[in-house]
Amino acid sequence: MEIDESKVYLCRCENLTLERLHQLLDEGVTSMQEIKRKTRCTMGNCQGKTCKQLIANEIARYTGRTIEEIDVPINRLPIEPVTLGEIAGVK
Amino acid sequence: MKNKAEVVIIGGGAAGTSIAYNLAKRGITDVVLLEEKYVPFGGTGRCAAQFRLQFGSVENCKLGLLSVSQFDTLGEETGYGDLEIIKHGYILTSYEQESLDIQRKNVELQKSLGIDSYILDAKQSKEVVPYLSTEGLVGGSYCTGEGHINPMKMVYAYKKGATDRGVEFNDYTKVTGIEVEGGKVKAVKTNKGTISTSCVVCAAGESSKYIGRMVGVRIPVEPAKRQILATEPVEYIKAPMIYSFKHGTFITQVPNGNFLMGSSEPNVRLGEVDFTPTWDFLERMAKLGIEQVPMFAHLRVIRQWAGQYGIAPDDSVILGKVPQVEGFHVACGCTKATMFAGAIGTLVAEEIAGLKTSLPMEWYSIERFDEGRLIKDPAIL
Repeated sequence: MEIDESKVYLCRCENLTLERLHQLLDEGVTSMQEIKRKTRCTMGNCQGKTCKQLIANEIARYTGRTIEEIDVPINRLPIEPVTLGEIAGVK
Repeated sequence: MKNKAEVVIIGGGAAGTSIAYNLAKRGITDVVLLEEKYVPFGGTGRCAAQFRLQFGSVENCKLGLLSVSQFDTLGEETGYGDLEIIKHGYILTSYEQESLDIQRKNVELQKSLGIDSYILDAKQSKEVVPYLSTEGLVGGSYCTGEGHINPMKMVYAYKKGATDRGVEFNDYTKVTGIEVEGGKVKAVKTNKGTISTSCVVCAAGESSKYIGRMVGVRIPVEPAKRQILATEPVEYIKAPMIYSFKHGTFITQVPNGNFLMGSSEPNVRLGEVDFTPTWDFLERMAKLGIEQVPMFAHLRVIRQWAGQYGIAPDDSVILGKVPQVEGFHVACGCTKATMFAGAIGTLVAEEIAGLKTSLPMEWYSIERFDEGRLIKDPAIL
């Protein structure tokens, strides 16, 4: 069965599909840092926790590189979303 | 990578990419841009994505106006498309009559230069920013010719415009030295080879002093860490950026819905490059943010990051030729490279092309520091 790449979402918060990722890689945009800046992928409410590894793996697979060769963005703090009120110590 | 070029640009941020595009547009296409990491790794990719016109000096107001006129057409001119430009404006808030009086003078200056800014009282301020607390607020100045631009899209538009015309971009390429012979630039050495050239542009932002040292020029720009936090996205209401001198903070909502906010850093040591986000910033920013916008208490922080400002003695740009080395040009935005990208690229490209520059280069030259001609601007944090 053939997969419809336009319906496979790698990043659910920012709607990066497999089709769009392959399109960018075909255009020569192979830096994950650049892909992040172009598409906002990994920057949504999930803080990249659901999508980052999927996207990194797919870039490596599609471009024939190892995962170590991909410039994977770091995870940003905080580890869990937390309200400014909790941080400031106000109710 | 080419081994010979008419111009070599060091730095792939807003300044460098804009110069590449503005050179190409003027027919100078034998250009190589070198970026140590990726485009845009430094300050441009870490900034709060705003451009402003409300300054307190002729020099800075003119840079703003020249830049905005380029931003307005850049997406279409390069074929890149939408740059997410939304002129939601800035409000510069005042909590004392004295500081509002200074703003009144700035507004007079801005109006004389064709910038449509005006003074608001506390009630009017609340009308343009419904979530702003008016406690202690006297008023502010407001302008809608300024606002948001996506800095990533901006540099990719510049990159597209430049590379479509033949400019070569090299990522992950580190400059290791610059050869100078008889007071003239001869070549740029990198980890990927040497490029012969008679013209080098240092657009390395907060790292510019290291590039300057390679040719014996002291560039008075020191890195200083700043941090930003981003909240979860909520409905975007197109309210202006809140810029508070009293709190030392900026607060803005970007079209994606996230609020971005940042503050001055009391404990940062000038001269150190440091990308580590810290808890003390989150706590300080949370308190200062809630004080100005009480509803922030309920919004979640999802991201926090750090970048470096490049601090110049008068916090304005440093542009153009240097007296010591022929063929060496400086193009430092010094905390304002994104918002002044259009002007930086235009002026430096005009100078290199030997054209009449749109603004007087001596206003922005590195020599102003030795000659005591600093740009005095009371509207900068």
